[in-house]
Amino acid sequence: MAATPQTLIPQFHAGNDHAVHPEMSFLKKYIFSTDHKIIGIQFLLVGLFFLLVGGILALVIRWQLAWPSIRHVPAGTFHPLPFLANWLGWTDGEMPADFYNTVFTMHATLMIFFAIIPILVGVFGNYLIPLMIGAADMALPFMNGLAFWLSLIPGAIMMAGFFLPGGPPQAGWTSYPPLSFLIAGGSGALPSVPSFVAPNGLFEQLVSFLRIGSASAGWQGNWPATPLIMLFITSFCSFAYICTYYINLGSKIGAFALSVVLCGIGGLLVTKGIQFVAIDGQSCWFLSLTLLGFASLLGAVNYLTTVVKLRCPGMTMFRMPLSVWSLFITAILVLLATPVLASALVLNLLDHLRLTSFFIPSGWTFGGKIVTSPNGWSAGGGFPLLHQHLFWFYSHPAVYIMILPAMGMVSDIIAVFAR
Amino acid sequence: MKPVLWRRLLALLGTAALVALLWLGAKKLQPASNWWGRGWGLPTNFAVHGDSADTIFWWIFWITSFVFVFVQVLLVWFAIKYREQPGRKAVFLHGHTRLEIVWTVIPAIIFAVLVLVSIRSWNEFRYGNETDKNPASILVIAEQFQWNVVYPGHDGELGQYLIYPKLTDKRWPKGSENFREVAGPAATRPSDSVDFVNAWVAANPLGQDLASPHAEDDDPQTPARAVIVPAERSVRIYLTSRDVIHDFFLPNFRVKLDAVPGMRGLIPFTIRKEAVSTQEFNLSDANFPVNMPIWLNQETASTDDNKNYKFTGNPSEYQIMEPHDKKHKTSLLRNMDDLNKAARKRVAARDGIQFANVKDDQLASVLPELKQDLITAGFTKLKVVVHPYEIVCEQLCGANHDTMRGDFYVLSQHDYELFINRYYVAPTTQPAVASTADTAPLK
Repeated sequence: MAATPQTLIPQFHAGNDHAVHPEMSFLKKYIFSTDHKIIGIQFLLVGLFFLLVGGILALVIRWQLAWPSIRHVPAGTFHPLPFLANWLGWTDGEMPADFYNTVFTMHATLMIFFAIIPILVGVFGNYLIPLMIGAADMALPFMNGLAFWLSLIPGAIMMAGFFLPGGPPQAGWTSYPPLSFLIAGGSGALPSVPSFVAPNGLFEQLVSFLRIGSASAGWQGNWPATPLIMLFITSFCSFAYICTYYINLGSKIGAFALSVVLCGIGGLLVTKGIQFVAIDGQSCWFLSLTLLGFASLLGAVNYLTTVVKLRCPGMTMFRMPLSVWSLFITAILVLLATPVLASALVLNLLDHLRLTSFFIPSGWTFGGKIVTSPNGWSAGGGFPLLHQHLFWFYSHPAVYIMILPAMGMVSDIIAVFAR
Repeated sequence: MKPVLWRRLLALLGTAALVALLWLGAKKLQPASNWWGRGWGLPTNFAVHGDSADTIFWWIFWITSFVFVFVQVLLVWFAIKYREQPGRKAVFLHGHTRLEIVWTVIPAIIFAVLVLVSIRSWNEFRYGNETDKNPASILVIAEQFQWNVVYPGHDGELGQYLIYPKLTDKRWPKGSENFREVAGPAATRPSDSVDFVNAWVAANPLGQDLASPHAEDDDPQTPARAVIVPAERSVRIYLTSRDVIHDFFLPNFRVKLDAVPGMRGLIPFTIRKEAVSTQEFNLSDANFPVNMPIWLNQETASTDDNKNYKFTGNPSEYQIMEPHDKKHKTSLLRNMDDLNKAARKRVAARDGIQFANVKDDQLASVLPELKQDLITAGFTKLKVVVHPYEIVCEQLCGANHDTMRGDFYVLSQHDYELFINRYYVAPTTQPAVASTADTAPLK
């Protein structure tokens, strides 16, 4: 007679029946929460927001296909683009080519990095892993929340590209270097330090304290008010999350006041610091994805630790549901691949800002002119193909990062609901 | 209705909608309607190596299609078959080792076979014509947003290109030692060196190595009207880029490679005889394709002792001259013009109006007249490029990426020889002209 599978009997709650649950404040429970379900829902809301933005951009792409430019249609059949052309002031009635490049670049970027991966990995990983392996929460709950709040700052930086002069990046979601380190998708000009922009209007002047530089210094950052406020709020919230758990004074009011002051200073420093680096859409793109990679590393470490260490008694690795297995493998892929992408992006960002020649070949010319850095020199000797190799070292696993969780879920759902 | 019935109705409606969509999609599927195969299938293949690539493509396509349909059908069928029903209980399955071995080994074997076949096909393509002694070498230099081509000239060898001076160079590249009477970029004031280098680049846009012996008779065309290659002879296209990464894609020849600045890629391939783009037409023929470019070469000219036919540098400037008007020789037809364009030019010159403003109905009267003049000049037959192929840039290369297309003409071996050697004068009794490498063109 086969042994009774004693280990399958749930034992996790034994002895925990009368666990004490101290009443948590609303802020700790629902906003700056370390609970895996709340964090999963937060990832879902943010992912759905970016899904909406990316979806609207997809509609704009379709809009161009429905009313193509005059050079793409037979003579006499051109029809001006309805609505959009009026709203955005395209006098010739067709979508400008660089605008189209912008739209599909941002569509792909937002959908891949800010919608699909957060929803499939962030949401289901956080929500399902502890439930399906019988853990009370993730192994590193505070870090889990940190991963969420740190992924908001990259979102704000990425969206800031829409507001900066020159617009969002136009080099495609792959951002191959000789194109991507030219400002505005290859107009030939190289990015320079932020030049003086006089704040226009009361609102812009009110948030001037968030900008780098000043009128008296003769130069000022080029960020308009909207992205500045977005970035300040997200970085403020990230610090607020940390303060919620690490500022413990005797009085609640004192802790609250100190937290607000610290978050304000931290948010200000982050907002100002990022403006030194993110000066146009493309540099926003590089910086944003580098930071987002950092956040997803925190998440991946958490998934791995949880799956390895927190399985309930009897839940051996090979009894784990396939959904958890797929998320486990995904976390390994994220852990191995993302740093490589980050290195490529940082090198490309340096090329973009200072022409450091990681990806610029020797004696490189653009538009019939030798390309020099803002300092007036040109080095060259780099290798454009290196970026492709580094980028695809991440992006090939990335397709599995996107599909594996979905495959795991299909395997579980069909198997469970078929009887 | 009972909830179960509702569910069944919905499932039926959904399935019906799916079938209707598939049927509508299948109705749209149609075989290639054009000669180059722009239907729903692959474009027609004209490359020797293309058949094996296509075979592998179709094998992979049908294997994956079969697996896809099989799995999806099973997925849906099982979901219906094993749905919740009164009295049915879930069964615990722990797995079936033999089944798992089977569904692992079969794909492994399929993959292994595909890999072996692919390696063989790739090796044939990449190294198959490496030993060929007389390949047609062509250098393609991509640039925003045009294709530049360098033909090797009579010696069949290409020089070095894209060699630009650096700001820190003490001397200019060989062949331009005394450019603007300074020793090199670094010998000027630092603030001027950028301007000097830019001027050098403007004078030698493709960065030709003037000291290279093979560069002498090279024939650079910036931008090229078309990339011209021979059929039935191994072609070696060397590919590079001046600015950003482009991609040289010939759909009809199963050839595609990134043009990376700082690197030189190689595309070796051979084109079949039936791909030849040109076809000879009688000018009196009513079906003469008046919208297609006309290909002129020396042979055409030999009908009239070359008197009415002139070569000047760029192939677009070969032209047939007006035979009777000795004083004011005007051009009847330029190379790569179509008859419509020539007629349009003629109307514009006659009426003194803009080329673009010539109306189509004005052409109809001029065309017969133009044809008659060409026949009088001794050209009864003309070669027309009836099958221009397409070059597509397959890598996003900037704002006007969508305009980065090019024409690709395949000539017969004979025509290609004439085209490549059109500047070549055989050294007969006269000694060869002294090398011009030291004097041209940077001064």
